[in-house]
Amino acid sequence: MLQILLNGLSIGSVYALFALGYALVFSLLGVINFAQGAVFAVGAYLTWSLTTGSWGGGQVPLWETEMRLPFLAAAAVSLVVCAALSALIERFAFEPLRRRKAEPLLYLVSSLGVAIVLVNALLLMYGAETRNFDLDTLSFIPVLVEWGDLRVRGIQLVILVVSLLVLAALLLLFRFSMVGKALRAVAENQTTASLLGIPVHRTIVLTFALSGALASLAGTLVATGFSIPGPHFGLLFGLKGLAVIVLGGMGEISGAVLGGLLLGLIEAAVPAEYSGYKEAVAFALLFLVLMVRPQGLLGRRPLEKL
Amino acid sequence: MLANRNVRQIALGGALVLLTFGSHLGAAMTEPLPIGAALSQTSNVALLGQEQIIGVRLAEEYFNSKGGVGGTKIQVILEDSAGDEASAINAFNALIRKNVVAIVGPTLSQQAFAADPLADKAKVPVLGPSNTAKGIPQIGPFVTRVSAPVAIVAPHALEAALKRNPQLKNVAVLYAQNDAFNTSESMTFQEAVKADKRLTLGTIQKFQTTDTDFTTQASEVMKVKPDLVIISGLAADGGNLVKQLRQLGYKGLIVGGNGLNTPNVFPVCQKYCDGILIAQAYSPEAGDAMNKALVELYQKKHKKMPGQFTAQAFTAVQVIVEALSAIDQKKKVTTYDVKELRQELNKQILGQSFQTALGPISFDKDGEIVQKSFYVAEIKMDADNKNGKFSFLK
Amino acid sequence: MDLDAFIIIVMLQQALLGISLYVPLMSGQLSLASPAFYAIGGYLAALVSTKLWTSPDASLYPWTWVLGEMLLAGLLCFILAQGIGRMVLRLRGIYLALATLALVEVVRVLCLNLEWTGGAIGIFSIPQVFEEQQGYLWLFLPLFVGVALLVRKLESSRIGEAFRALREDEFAAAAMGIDPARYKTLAFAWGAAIAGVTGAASAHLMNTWNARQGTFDASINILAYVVIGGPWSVWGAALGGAILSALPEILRPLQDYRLVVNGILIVLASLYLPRGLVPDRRRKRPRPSSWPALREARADGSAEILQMDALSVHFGGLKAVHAVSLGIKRGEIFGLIGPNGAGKTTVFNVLTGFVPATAGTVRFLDHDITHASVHHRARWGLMRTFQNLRLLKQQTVLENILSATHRFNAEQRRTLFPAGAEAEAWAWMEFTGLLDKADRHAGDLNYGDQRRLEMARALMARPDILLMDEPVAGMNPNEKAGMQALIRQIRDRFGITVILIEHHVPLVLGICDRIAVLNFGELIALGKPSEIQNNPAVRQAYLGSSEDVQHG
Repeated sequence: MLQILLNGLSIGSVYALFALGYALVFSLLGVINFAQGAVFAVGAYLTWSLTTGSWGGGQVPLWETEMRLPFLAAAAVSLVVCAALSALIERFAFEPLRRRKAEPLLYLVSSLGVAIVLVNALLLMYGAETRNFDLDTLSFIPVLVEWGDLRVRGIQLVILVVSLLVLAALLLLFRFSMVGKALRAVAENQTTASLLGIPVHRTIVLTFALSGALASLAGTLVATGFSIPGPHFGLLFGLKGLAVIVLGGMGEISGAVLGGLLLGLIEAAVPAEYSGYKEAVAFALLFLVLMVRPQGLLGRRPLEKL
Repeated sequence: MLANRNVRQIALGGALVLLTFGSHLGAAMTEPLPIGAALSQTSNVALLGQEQIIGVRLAEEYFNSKGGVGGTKIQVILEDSAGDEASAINAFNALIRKNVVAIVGPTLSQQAFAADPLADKAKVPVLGPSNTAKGIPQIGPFVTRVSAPVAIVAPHALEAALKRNPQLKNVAVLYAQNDAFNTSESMTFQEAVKADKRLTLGTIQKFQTTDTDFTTQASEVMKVKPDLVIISGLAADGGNLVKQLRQLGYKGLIVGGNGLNTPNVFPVCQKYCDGILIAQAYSPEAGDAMNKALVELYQKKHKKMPGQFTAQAFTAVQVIVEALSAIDQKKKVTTYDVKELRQELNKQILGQSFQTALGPISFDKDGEIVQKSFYVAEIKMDADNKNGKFSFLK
Repeated sequence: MDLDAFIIIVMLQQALLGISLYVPLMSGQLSLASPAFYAIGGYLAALVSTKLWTSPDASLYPWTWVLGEMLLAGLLCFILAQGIGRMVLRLRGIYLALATLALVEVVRVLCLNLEWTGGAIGIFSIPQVFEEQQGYLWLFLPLFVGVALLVRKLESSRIGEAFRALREDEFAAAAMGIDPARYKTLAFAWGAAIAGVTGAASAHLMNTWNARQGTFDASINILAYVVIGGPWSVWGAALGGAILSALPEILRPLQDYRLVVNGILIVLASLYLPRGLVPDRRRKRPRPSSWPALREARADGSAEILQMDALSVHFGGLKAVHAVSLGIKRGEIFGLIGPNGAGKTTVFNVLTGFVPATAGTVRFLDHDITHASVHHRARWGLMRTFQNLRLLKQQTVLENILSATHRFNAEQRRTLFPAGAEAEAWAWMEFTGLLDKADRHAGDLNYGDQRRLEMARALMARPDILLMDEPVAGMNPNEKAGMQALIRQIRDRFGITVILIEHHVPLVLGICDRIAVLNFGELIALGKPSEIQNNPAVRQAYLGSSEDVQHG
């Protein structure tokens, strides 16, 4: 039981981290940034390349450099680059639509286009092979932590701790800081916010950058804990993230966290003989939750004024 | 009521449709001889496809350097069959339109069931490089394959494991259930385990080739305390599973299915790959002359050993080239009409035997490969744990 | 460019899938379930043709069987979707999208795990219907044309009208007598049936069928078809499907780069074609040279038409309406006033069925309607306007008015509108002074015109009772006077009973026969205007909220 809890929370915290990026953008603009999954993949590849010094390997020939960053530095660089990439996506695929007050669906499709471009660019660059960190990259982490019957890989504990710390820090930030207030104000009403002197556009760009950074962090964590099984992986992860925010309630920051942890737990709790149905269980549950609570677990039901 | 505009739109569509109805008439052979390859360049199947593409490209280079078909150069025309059935059909159609003499492909068995019937109907020989599912050669007389079906290959590894540790008792089986090849391979393994009185089947766990986190499955396996774990998966997922299993403290034997028979697993599980037993339809260590040529070419370009997917794709082109050469000795291939040549080629492929990188092979009347050499290898990792090799057990 | 028959068949097939997403969208439902039903239809055809059909001598599969399979698949998906459609009724927007996406994933995993669907390999060697692959054009072309024309016809039918109303505003639609549950389920089921039929035909086209046929990426692709093609008409959905499915094939010469270019084109299309390839067209209708005069009627003011008996609505601890008993007489103009938060709109909401009663009963024309749904009450003749204006903003004034005819069945419409519903609608536009604005979108009208349009729409339905929630709010004095005259005419000329909520007290005192005053959810006074004016309790209530009855 405890084993399941630990396994579930470990992957669930990464889901939460990743989904938080979706939730931030959604709470602000009421739209979904489908490119989030692709940025996740970019982040994972970038951290990998920076630590191992190997680039390319697809149509771009493999290029081994001597420039190898320590893991933490690589992760930090990747974080910054992905934040910038995400801000660029905002500039080119979202802002033009926002200026035109376009339908929310258009954002979904334009960011889907961006996702296709990024994933296939990664495919051209890196090919479809699995990429893995050298095991000694993280040799300071114990391989196995045993505690009675409990067996956890060291890296999973690290993932769990890092994600939970980041999540907690962000939740505090949103609750108590000026940034959080600005965010809530813009989410509530952009015109009012700008009248109050809040730089609306900068807040939006910042949010995108933050969600890009979160995607990169999730990508790095998954890549170190497991591996990068190819560029398309990002899209699959993207779908899971979508399920997470809907489960938790769209646009609710704490909903994304709850949804992520819950999804991880549910996946871990599927009994062995039904492991083939693991994917379906998560989605079937999503379906059921929506039947009972159409606005997700923590979502607020929109009030209809007649 | 039908608006006028609707009528116009439909008429336009109809005209467009009719325009494309021109049938493709036979044409005389051109030089270089076009050989089609419908392999997955894009999509998540590209992992397999890109190894195959290397194989057909190397074969093109190699056989052209040896004089092609009686002095006539060959050209491999590549069309992306992506990851879905419709793309495979499109790739096949594109190749048939380009008057190729034969087609190597597609990458997945599921795609083969969709696209092969078309080639068969058009009487274009198809060589499946990696389609291992049951029923592929039976699609039609023009469909053959150079990939041995799993049922033949898999049990060898189980024997090797029992030889290694006769006390083996408790077995855990894991397989990628969204992949046709791995599912049927695992069934073979499971039946073999059940048939063996010494063994008991402790647990069966399923996963997806797209999974990365195998914590649940690995934890379940650890619970039943097995002496042997059998994994049917592809390099990425299978390798990851091995890594996570070992990191959780599993010390027993691991048998890997054919999907793990690629150097691509080395970077995935690194030092934990060491000792995996693998049944192979191809071994880069095999001493056949053609294999040595392939390994040398491959190593020069990619600085590692070729895998099974590369070797099988290479072999598919070799079979076509050598069969064409045999035809050429009787009558120059360039004097044939494409349609005639395809028919001749198919007859020739089925009747000939070939000395390939997979060892000596021939085909039965259905077009099923008759392969003699199977291997069981053990993965031995190098000191730096980045690279390794498959070393023979017998 | 090298288009061959198969690509065209795939274009038609994807166009059909685009339509299958568009049909639920017509009613405002963003359902991504098409691939699930497509997969189910395909499995059905695959199983029937490989397991049931045993005629090894015939080389070709009989086309009658294919048609049978398609029919069966359509029917099966239609029935399945009826059930699922009911379950997902309450979901909106992205929540519905994700729930249906979950459905796709669940169906995929089931098909992957079940014995009889053939697991990962699926079902293969599905018999062929045509000698040559291009023969399938003769299956897909008629199927596409047939489906497209049917949906086209649906668009211009009354059902299509109901769908469009639902897409814009479900509450307004229900208040006009449109049953949201029925029409939304219908749209969902039709979309599913189209996907199922397409799947059945595709199983033969593809030679094989497996769990990879209906996946979430297909859902997303189909959504892109409809958004890029234009989510306004069947041609947009179809064109989007045809173009986007052909694009990767057209881009084949680019080899490795084709999908990158494909992605860039999708981004550009969504940025530069925000209305889609086939934009929405404003449906202009010519003004007829004349229309018959509005049929007049008188109502005698003796019998009670509507009775509330100890009616209560509690929200948790809040008693929004408490134990209100009132009887409204036929042909009365009845005013409902009270300070802010007195529960006036809640009374309207409970009378029209938007809010359930906690206790007590509502009787209308001697029937207990306490538990009837919104659209049923509308059909029986209880119509309302909304304080916060609920018009179909993307539709023209004329279309808005016509949406109110859903109260009637075909026969009733024939007897009620002998010159046609449209002629009647023009007459109502004349009555409310909207004649010049017939082709304007409702959302573009000014405030006063929007109020008048809400009234015209409700009148088109010829209600027995019209409940008007603040009809002159936001109007200038001139407009207010005009509205006052109109309200009087509604009763005097057409015999319609009017119940009125209004803060503008002079208007209420000026035209109402009787007035009820609510305070904190309770009825504190009832009587003629003069009685109310002098009622101390009323004065107290208004003084308490610093408003004066005299000068409101």
